[in-house]
Order: sequence, then C-alpha cells, then structure tokens
Amino acid sequence: MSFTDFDFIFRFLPAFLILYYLAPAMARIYVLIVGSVFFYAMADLRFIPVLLFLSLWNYLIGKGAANGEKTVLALGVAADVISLAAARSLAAGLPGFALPLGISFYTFRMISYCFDSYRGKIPKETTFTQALAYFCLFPQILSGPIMRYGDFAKISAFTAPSETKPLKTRIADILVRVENGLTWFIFGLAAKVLLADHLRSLWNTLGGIGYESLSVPLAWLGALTYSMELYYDFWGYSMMAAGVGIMIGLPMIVNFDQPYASDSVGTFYRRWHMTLGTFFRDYVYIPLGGSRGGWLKTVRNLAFVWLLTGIWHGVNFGYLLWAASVLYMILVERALRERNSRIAAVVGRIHVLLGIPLTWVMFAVGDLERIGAYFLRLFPIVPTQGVVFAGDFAKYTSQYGIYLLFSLVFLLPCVYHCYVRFRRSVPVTVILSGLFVLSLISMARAGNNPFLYLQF
Amino acid sequence: MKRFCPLIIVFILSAAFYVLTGFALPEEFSLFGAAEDDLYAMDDDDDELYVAETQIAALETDAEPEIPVVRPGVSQTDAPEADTAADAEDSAVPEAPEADETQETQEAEETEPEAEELPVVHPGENTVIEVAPLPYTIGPVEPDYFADALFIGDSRTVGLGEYCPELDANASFYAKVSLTVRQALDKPFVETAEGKKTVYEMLANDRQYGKIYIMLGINELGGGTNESFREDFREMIGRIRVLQPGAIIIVQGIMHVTGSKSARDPNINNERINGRNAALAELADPKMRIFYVDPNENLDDEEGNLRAELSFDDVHLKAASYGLWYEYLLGHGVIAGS
Repeated sequence: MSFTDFDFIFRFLPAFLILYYLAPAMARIYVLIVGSVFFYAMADLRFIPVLLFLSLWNYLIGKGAANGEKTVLALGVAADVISLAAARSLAAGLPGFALPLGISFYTFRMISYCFDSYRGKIPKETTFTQALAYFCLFPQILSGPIMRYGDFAKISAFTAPSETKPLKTRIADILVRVENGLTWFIFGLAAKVLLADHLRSLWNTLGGIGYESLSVPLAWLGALTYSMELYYDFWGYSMMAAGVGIMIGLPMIVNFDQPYASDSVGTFYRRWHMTLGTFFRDYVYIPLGGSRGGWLKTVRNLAFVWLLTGIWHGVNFGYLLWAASVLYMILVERALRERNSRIAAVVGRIHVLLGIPLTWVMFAVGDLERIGAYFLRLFPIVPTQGVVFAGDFAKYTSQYGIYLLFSLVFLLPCVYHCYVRFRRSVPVTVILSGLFVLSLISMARAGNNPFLYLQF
Repeated sequence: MKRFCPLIIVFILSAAFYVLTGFALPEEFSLFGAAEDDLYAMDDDDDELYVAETQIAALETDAEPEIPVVRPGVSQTDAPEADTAADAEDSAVPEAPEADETQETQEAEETEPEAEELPVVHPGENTVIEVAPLPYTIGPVEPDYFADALFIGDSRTVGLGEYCPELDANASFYAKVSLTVRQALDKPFVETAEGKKTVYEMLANDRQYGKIYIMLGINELGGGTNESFREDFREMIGRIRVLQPGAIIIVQGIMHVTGSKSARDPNINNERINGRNAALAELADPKMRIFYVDPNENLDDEEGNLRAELSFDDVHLKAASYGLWYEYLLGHGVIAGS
C-alpha cells in the first residue's frame, strides 16, 4: 500500500483517522502503532519481525546510551548499519530477495534516536510504546522523511490536556487539522501523479529508444525530464507524508525547500531531502569535526559524507559517480568563495541549473557504459552508432511540453510561497479540489506507479 | 474558511464516488490527450475493460457468429490470371458459395459505421486495379518494394517508422501507440490537413496500396481468446479488403517480448503471443492474397524470446534494433510468380 493507492487514500486513511480521533487520548498511541504495523504489513508482511526486533533493540540502546555511554551507542548504531548493509547486499546478490521496504529510512530514524538519546535530547521517561510508535510511524516508514524524535514528541493529539475533552468540543480542532493536512496531501499527490508520473513515462520512453539513438536536443530534454521527475516524485511524496503527519497532530516536516532556487550546490543539498542532509550533518559530518579542522580535514569529512550518501542510495556505479560529481562541485564552490564571492555565485548557479541535471542522469542511468552513451549524446564529440529520428525532439515536446512547462513553473519560489500563503483561500481551494479530481482520474487511467524512491 | 472545511467535503465526495464506482473509466477516456496514451496502455485496467467489452461483443455476435472475409475480387479465385476491375458493385455480389451470408455481412459493414457522414465507399470505382497473377512466393525484395506499402500497427510499428529511415523513405505508416485490432480502423489518429481521420477513411479515400503490412495484438493479450482475436483480425482484414481490393495483405506475427518479461507477466508473455500468432497464421490465404510472416525469426534467441540486448524495456525494440526487423521484411517480401 502506498500513498497513491486508492486503498490508502479512501479506505485506510479515513478509517485510521476516525479510529484515532474516536479513541480516548490514552489509547491513541496504540491506535497509531496498530495502524502503522497494519500499513507496513499490507506492503511487506515478511519483515514485520525485523522491524519489531530493531525497534526493541534501539529502544534498549537508547536507554543504555542515555548517560553518555559511547560503547552502548556504538553497539546500537553498528546493529542498525549491519542490518541495513546486510539487507542491501542480500537484495543485490540474491535473486528474488526484495529489500525490506523502508529499511533505509527506518534504520536511519533508529540511528538518530540512539544518537539523540546519547546526547540527552530524548526524555528519560520515554516508554517503549512511544519509541515504537515513532519507529513505525506509517506516514514516514516507507520513504521518510527521517524525522527526529524531538518532532515526534510534539505530537499533541495524545498529549495535550484538551484532547481528553469530549469529542464535541474538539471536533472543530480536528477538522481544521485534517483540512490543513489535506492542503499538503493534495498538493503532493498532484505533483506526484500529474507531473512526476507523466515525466517518468517520457524518461522510460527515452530508455526504450536507447540513449545512443537520441538526438542531441532530446538528450538534453531527457536530462531536464528526469531531474523534474525525481524532484516532483520525491517532493510530492514528502508533502503527502507531511500532510498525513499534520492530520495526526505532527508539526509540518519540511523535506524540500525550493532547492533549484539555490545559488550553489552546497545550498542545493541543504534544501533537497533535508532530513537526510541534516542526518549526515548531525551524526557524521559534525562528529568528524565538520569544517573546523582546516582545509584537508574539511575535504576529508565532506568526501566521507558523500561517499556514505552515495552508498546509502545503493552500491552502483551511477550513485557513486553522482556523489563524486556533487562533491567535486561543492569543493569547487568552496575554493571559489574564498577568492571571489561574485564569481562563486555565478558558478554556483551554473552548477545548480546545468550541473545538477547532469548528475541526475548519472544517478538515473547507473551503469558506466550507458552513462557514457548518454553523455556522448549530450556532448556529441563523436558521431553516434545509433539511428536517430530527426523529429524526436518535436514529437516529445508536443506530447510532454505541458508537463515540462508546469514542472518549470513550480520551480519558481514565488509560486510556492504564494501557495503557502494563500492555500486556505477560496480560489486556491477550488484549484486544489480540481487538482485532486484530476489526480484521481489520472491514477484510475494509468494504473499505479509506485514511488520512484521506494526502492531506496 | 476557519469553520468550513471544503477539502474534507471534496475528499468525502470523492471517497463515496470511489466506493460506488471504483473509478472504472471508459476505455477511450483521456485526460490531456496524446501523452496519456504513452503510459503504454498495457495495464490491467485496460485489460479488464477489454474483457468486459469482448464479452458484450461475444453476446452480440451470437446471432451472427461467423464473420467471413469479405472477398471483393472474387473472380480471382476462379480466374487468377485475369486483371480484374473490382468495384463495389462486383464485390457486393460475389460468386463464392457463401454468397448470401457474405452479402449480408457486407451490407452491415458498409452501412453501419459510416452511415451518417461518409457515403458508402466505392473503392477503386472507375479505376482499374492491377492484380498480379497467382502464384505468389515469399522471397527477398529490394527496398523500392515498399514504395507502395502501408504499415498498420501499434507502438512497435511507430518505432519502425521512426527508426528505420530507409523503410520510412518508401513506405507509409498508419501506426499509433497502444493501438488494438478492435480500434485500428475506427480510431481517428491519422494526422491530415483536415484534422484527424480514421484508417478506414484514409483507406477509402486516399490511395490504393500494393501491400498492407499489419502487426497488432500486443495491447490486447490480456483479454479475449486466440479465436476471438483471430476473428476480430479477420473482420478487420475483411474491411480493409473491401477498400483496398488490389493490395496484398501481409499479417505479421506479434513480436515477442524478452524472456525476463515473459517469465513475470501473466498477460504479456511469449506463450500467449505464440498462441495468438498461431491463430493469425490461420488467416493466411494466398488465393485471397493474405499472407503471414513472422519477424520473430530474426529477433529471437534460442528459447524463442526476444533477444534481451535488442530491447531496453523488454517489449519495444531499441532504435538501433529496428534494422533487424527491416532486414527480415526485405528477405520475406511477397512476390508474384514462382
């Protein structure tokens, strides 16, 4: 069950919310746990025991590390890392073994729990029930965001005294909460279904043609297409997760903050998949010394973080090349900024608007030979072996131009900020309702595409 | 807006609609037009709709079960060496044994679908159609063989037109992504100066072809039986035959998918394709100038699957692989004389 299943949207979510808010405040956390485990079981029944075992393990580690016990922390983190690495190796090496869904995300949530506990950021009186609810939390278990326990603890629905009042007096609050959550959920659904899924169809078509047979303009259009597809797929997913989170009383978790408006790759990755970026910053980069140990150490720390980021996505040449290219651009920007900040800003923009899409091509294509074939079409320094259809660019821009156009419009920060500001106004509500219906029609028409990021 | 929750209301209405209807949309429904169809239209939703439609069609045709091939140039069966001027009058009064039945069906054919706008089509009226004498043989041909050839097909034939420039320079293409046998003639997708036309209209009014190649069927593997598929195909050929009495009709076997696709897909697999192709091969009738060729012979591996390296998505050829299909067609032209 994923967020774009009709079963999730129209059966699970409403049923869950009704039970959740009908239950007495004390019992609500149990509804959350049962609902989350049910949600996960619908997607992947086999690995429920792994999830429950790791939850218990990390809760105990969290208790043990709470007094600053480094050894205990190391033990806990090692178990998480080994589980993740083992699952990934098995999935890569054993045919027929599917990666336990969401394991990359929930093990990272567990690592952050252990670290936060070690640093004294998690209340000592935290119960296993609370930790379990945090680890299994259904809006976030499959593809993040990697929310911290501190944010989870803000969940007011079962802690606030007002929540013990009779339903009649709190129904208005609940409705406002759900309505607010829906503004994000629908926006995310539309981004995913109306933009990302259609752009994915074009990207798949390009693969079907064979990269060596793309015309040069189509190869560039392909780089744009994949970049936009990945962005709206994952941003859309993150907004849907945030929306469901708001409905159950969590704060808004921002995972993307207009990354393409950044003026450097460094900033881009502080605004792209932010919960992963801050995870690596807080639990890897800063413990290693961050940028305080001089040039050489900074480069070493950045390289280590980006190596880990690459590996986290998968052991695949494309991910490593992607990570290495990003690291290279970040280092170039740092070096330039120390000499001339104006040039650094120009180079940074070029990096974001031109370099980043090229790194996404590496990320998407994966294998060295095919990356080479694609780049030889982007930069046709040698004639291609393939057969090129001269009308391909015109054909695909006429078919997909509208999706590409909208994907570019929503890159403009002002469009998004307008949405945030006016999302409860009448005209935007009408537009959102229309987008919701269009998304549902598109889903019914096209069948379901699972989230691209689900495989990670 | 504080007290009033419009999105919740929209959500509840949609949920109610979903529970009641399951969002079963009509087959032809398209949100934004062209690109929508490129989601390869091979998903289960379409299959279900198709099954339903097939069942209805089966009920309807119970009264008149067999739809025979309409045979306009009937005189050729008796006198194959004669050059025949076939016009609609002739074809409506065939001398074949099943004359009555044929006539009935054909009248239905011609009056039903285009009764309103199109006049009853008189193909080749006042034109002499050259029909080469029997027998025909299958053998190698030169590229200019395709100068009077038309290709009808789905996404795979679209690809053939785009990525085989040598063939595209000679032949014509009426091909569309996600096309099925049942829509092939009646779906308006051929771009003309006067807007989109159906293949039926084009065949009726545009020009007479010497050869008509057809490859269809991958999009309807999920529904119907080999027999119903063959009969749908037979009906389509019959309608083409009326409009293009002089053409050699060359049915191509449905191209296989790769072994990995075949192993994991309950509908789109080679076992099913082979069943359909065996049914298609039965349509071949050299006397009626209907032939069957199978390009899989040049595209398969030893196990009878599409060679994995020729495809990226396991269903469609890569651009660079279309040459192999063309190579097969060059080696398997239908030639008059022995």
